[in-house]
Amino acid sequence: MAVPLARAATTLNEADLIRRAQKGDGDAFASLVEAYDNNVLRIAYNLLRNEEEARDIYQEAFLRVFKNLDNFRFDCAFHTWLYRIVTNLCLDHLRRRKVRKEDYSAQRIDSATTNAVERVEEHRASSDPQRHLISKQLGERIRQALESLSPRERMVFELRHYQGMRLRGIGETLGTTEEAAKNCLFRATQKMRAALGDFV
Amino acid sequence: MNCELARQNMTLFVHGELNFDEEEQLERHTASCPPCARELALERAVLDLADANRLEPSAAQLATARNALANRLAAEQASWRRRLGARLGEWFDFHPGLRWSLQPIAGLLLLGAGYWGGSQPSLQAFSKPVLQSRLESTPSERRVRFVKSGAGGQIELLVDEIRQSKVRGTVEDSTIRELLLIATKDPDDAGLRAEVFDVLKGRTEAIDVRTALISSLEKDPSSEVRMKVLESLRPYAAYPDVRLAMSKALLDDTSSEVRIMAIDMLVSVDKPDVAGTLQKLLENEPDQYLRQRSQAALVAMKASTNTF
Repeated sequence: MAVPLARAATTLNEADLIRRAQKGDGDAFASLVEAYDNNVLRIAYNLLRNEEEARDIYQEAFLRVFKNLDNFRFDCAFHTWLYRIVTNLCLDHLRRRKVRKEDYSAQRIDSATTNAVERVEEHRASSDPQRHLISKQLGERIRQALESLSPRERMVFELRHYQGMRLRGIGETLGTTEEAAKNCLFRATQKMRAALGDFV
Repeated sequence: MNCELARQNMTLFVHGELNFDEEEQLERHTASCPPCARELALERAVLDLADANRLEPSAAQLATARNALANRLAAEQASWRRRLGARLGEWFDFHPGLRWSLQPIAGLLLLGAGYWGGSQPSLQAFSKPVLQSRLESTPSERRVRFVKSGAGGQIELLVDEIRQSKVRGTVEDSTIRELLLIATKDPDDAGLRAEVFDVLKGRTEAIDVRTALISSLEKDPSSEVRMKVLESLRPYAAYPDVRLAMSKALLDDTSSEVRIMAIDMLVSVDKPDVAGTLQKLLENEPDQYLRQRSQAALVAMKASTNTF
């Protein structure tokens, strides 16, 4: 489980960095980027499962932060604001993708960033071909299961399970209630169970 | 707690979203209810499977994203400045009578805008050098390829390692120069290639730099990069190898912008081979602008507009 996002910049005096960045301190802005950009890229990458698209979202998100930092008034945590931008961009992207009905599930993920299933598969391949086959099928099935979630369900599942955010924070980030986020998580898990049931 | 409530709470339980009392109740219930215990195990197993499918961006991926972000932010600032200049220019085009009388005020406006921009973090102040130097990360990527256990608890690992490092120096330093020339061929990052050509701009006299530029003019897939290369080669159009590369760009490049830039540069050089290139162009060229430009240049050179 990932370290909760909110803790990512605890060592920094974040409010001070933001104020300095708002006054034009490029170094402070860069520190804010550095504090969160790995998480931003991870969220986008896991949600979109496409390296190039994740990079586009990363870039667009920080560009929006860059352009709108003056308007940030500390009425929520900086990371909530940032992840709201990221998740909105990802949601839009996933919705557009759904409309286009493109099959992204068939896309191969870059070899440098293969997922855990594929890594296991690679290590065991020579010693156990049957296991290799099962791992491969499983990886594909998980990808399909994630694809079967609605963009919002996928977002909640990603933020809660992979990023370790609390439902309350997820609700805040997605502009909804904790209860709605909870229902989304419940539906997402049910769908995952239905899709993966015969593997467990 | 009954089975129905237990099952409702299982998802929240495995995600750690129940309070202490609710967790206690669920644990007590599953301890005494085998079907619910099985359900809970299933719920956990599904999450474990999903966990195994988690993607982690590599260090190289993060570094690429940071580099692209720094370039984009720099471009954003430049475009803002251009827009401001263009808006002021348009305004004066609409009010030509005011152009001269208000020029000092326009100057002040631009100065003021620069000052204002300087105090606006989202427009001016995050200069690219600051961002790039700060966003240059030094993450390393490691991958264990082989594990071997030995006696006494000793373990031997074979590790692939990609380590990023910062190299500082001038373009004259051989290491820097070598790395820059490698970067001119980076297939994934046109922005980086363009940056590198900017850095190499004043060094075209050196044969290794010129060779790299000429090669990129022929092979780079990005027309913007090829234009950047042409710009770097402009002062050296009198060199035969540069002229030959420009002639090839004029005759064969797929981008009309590149070709127009190439012809502009070539016609400024009074060399017989340029006339030959222009005459060759006229044989089959469908682009009216290029034809006219070529014919005018040939006339100015007192060369024939026909080929023999």
